[in-house]
Amino acid sequence: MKKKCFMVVVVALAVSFLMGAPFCYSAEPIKIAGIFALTGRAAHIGTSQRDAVILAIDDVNQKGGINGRMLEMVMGDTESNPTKAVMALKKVLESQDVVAIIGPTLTGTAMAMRGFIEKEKIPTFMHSGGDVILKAPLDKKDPNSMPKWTFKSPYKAADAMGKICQYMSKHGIKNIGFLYSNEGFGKDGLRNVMVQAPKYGVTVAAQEAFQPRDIDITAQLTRINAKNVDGIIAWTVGPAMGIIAKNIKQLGIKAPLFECHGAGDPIFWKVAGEAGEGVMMPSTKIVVGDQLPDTDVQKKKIIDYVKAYNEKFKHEPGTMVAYGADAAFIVIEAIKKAGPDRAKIRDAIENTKGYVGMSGIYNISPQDHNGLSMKDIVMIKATKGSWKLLE
Amino acid sequence: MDFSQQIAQYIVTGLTIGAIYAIVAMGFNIIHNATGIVNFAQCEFISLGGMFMYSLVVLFKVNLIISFFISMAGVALIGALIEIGPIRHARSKEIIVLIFLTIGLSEVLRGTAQEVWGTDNVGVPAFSGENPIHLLGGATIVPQHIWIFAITVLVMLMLHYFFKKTLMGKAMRATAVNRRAAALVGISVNRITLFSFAFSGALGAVAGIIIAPISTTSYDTGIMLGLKGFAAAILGGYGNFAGAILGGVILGLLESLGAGLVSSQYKDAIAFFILLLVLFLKPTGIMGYGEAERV
Repeated sequence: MKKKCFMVVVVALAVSFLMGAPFCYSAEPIKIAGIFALTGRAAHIGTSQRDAVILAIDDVNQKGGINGRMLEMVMGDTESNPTKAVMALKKVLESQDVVAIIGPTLTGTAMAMRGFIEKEKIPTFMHSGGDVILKAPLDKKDPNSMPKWTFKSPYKAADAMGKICQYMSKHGIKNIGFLYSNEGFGKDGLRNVMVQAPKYGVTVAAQEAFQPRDIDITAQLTRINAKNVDGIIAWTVGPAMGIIAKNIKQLGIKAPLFECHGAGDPIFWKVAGEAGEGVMMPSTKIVVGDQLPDTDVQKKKIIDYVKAYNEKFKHEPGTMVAYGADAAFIVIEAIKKAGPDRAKIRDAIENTKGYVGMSGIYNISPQDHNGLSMKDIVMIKATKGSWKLLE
Repeated sequence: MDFSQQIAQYIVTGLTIGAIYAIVAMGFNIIHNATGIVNFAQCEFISLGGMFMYSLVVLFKVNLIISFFISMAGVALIGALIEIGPIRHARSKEIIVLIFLTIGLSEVLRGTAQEVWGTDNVGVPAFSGENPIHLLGGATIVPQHIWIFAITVLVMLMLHYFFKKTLMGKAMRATAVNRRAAALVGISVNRITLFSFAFSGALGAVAGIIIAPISTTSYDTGIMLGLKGFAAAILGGYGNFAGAILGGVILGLLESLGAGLVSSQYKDAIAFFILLLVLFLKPTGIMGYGEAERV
């Protein structure tokens, strides 16, 4: 009896070795980590960026992977919370051997993860809006300790603000009110507008704050309106985007409303409804792909990608899907070039030149870990549940 | 827009927001009076009211008025289930244990809502359009503000009638004053508690429903409103109904006038500073008389 058992085990082992092992070997996937805000206040951004990355990875795998090896994403959820972000990252890194990281979504979570990433030396392409993740030294005492392994795909917030101010001055808007949510992103916007507006001859006549969860912002708007402004910029993502648009209609304020570069998302129409009509904002070209001139080098790429996105997820992508897609494609290109080696992938990302993405044309260098410029940004206008390209 | 117009606008805004806070505060008070606990699941009643309304009106295209009452009844039922289930069967009847239980329940409800509806904020159509109405004095409102005001006043009047004139209402007040004595004279304290949870559920839902067209709604929209309503209840005197109205209106006005006249950045800080000041001077709240009489 004992002997029989032994034989069965030996045969089973032999069979599994002969059949399973070579199969396993050829399919050993290359792993990358995807850390997104899948829940919490930025969940609508995080989930669509996750979808964007999934689409990019599917695309590569359908074409046979990288040198015959499939790509696999190991996911972590930051819960839109800096502490939870670091925990999610550590959990992924302890259980899996990843060659690169994509994400996270929010600037706060990115800042929390940055130090750890630099210490572990893993190339990371972030989606967070704030420029501070590239600009702030890692060690406060050493101004030269710049991040080496951290990159970000969204264009710089300062450029987005500059684009609005440029548009305003071109259209005779000189005297504006600035409305910002009283947290990291909004305050970053306030600092930027104070630098950018004077460059284009625009005066910030009033600046008012609100809480991200406020249900009524008429008091602030009344105060701004009393200054007789001829344009209003609102710097926030989330329900307040819609509340501000509604409150402006309610108060009968005629000054045009501009919102931030995160507003060009289907969620804008959900929160603003009809009041959203006519609101202008800077955006990536992904939401107005079919309106681009044929000479635009990004046009074909964007249209193809949006079509694939639509087919897979059954809804239109928002402006921030572009950041997820670009981060994923650039990292994938780097892995193709450098192989599954963290340091070589980092170098390959840093040498990305003239890459035509959804958000613009990336020219990454050791000095600029973002690589986009102001000319990659377009101004769009909310029109009938969709977006119209202005310039 | 001259200064008097601005002031008028701040006051009208403050009153509307205050009305919402008052309804929420009322929900806290009813459960407190029946059981002595603070029900933190009240926040979730607000979110659920808004989300039920969204599902019925936007997703299932049900008539607005019918949706209003179904949402209200739905949340009232959830309130009742909370009482019949966990609250009634809790091993310990210590107040602090029950309060923690409601915190847990609120997490469960919020998590479930997140799974059902996702995390996006969604809009609900206004009850009768969004064309601005110009008031005397230069303030502008939308029709929804009138609805909020009218419904709040109606709810308050109905509550007043219920607690002062009906047997059930009197029984609830008796329980509030002294549970044991109420039980001794034949009032079913269990039934009163059940009723208070269903009632609070309905009130929370009303707040969530009437504010949704203005603020949009999501699975966790009630957290902020719930906290402000809680603050209003404390400001007015916890457990006191007239206090809830007063507390709500004062808090709403403070926020709006604070943002308009002093600084929008410290809007909440100003409101809560006044709240602390009142509690220093009169720890039972503006209308509170201490523990002996809570109604």
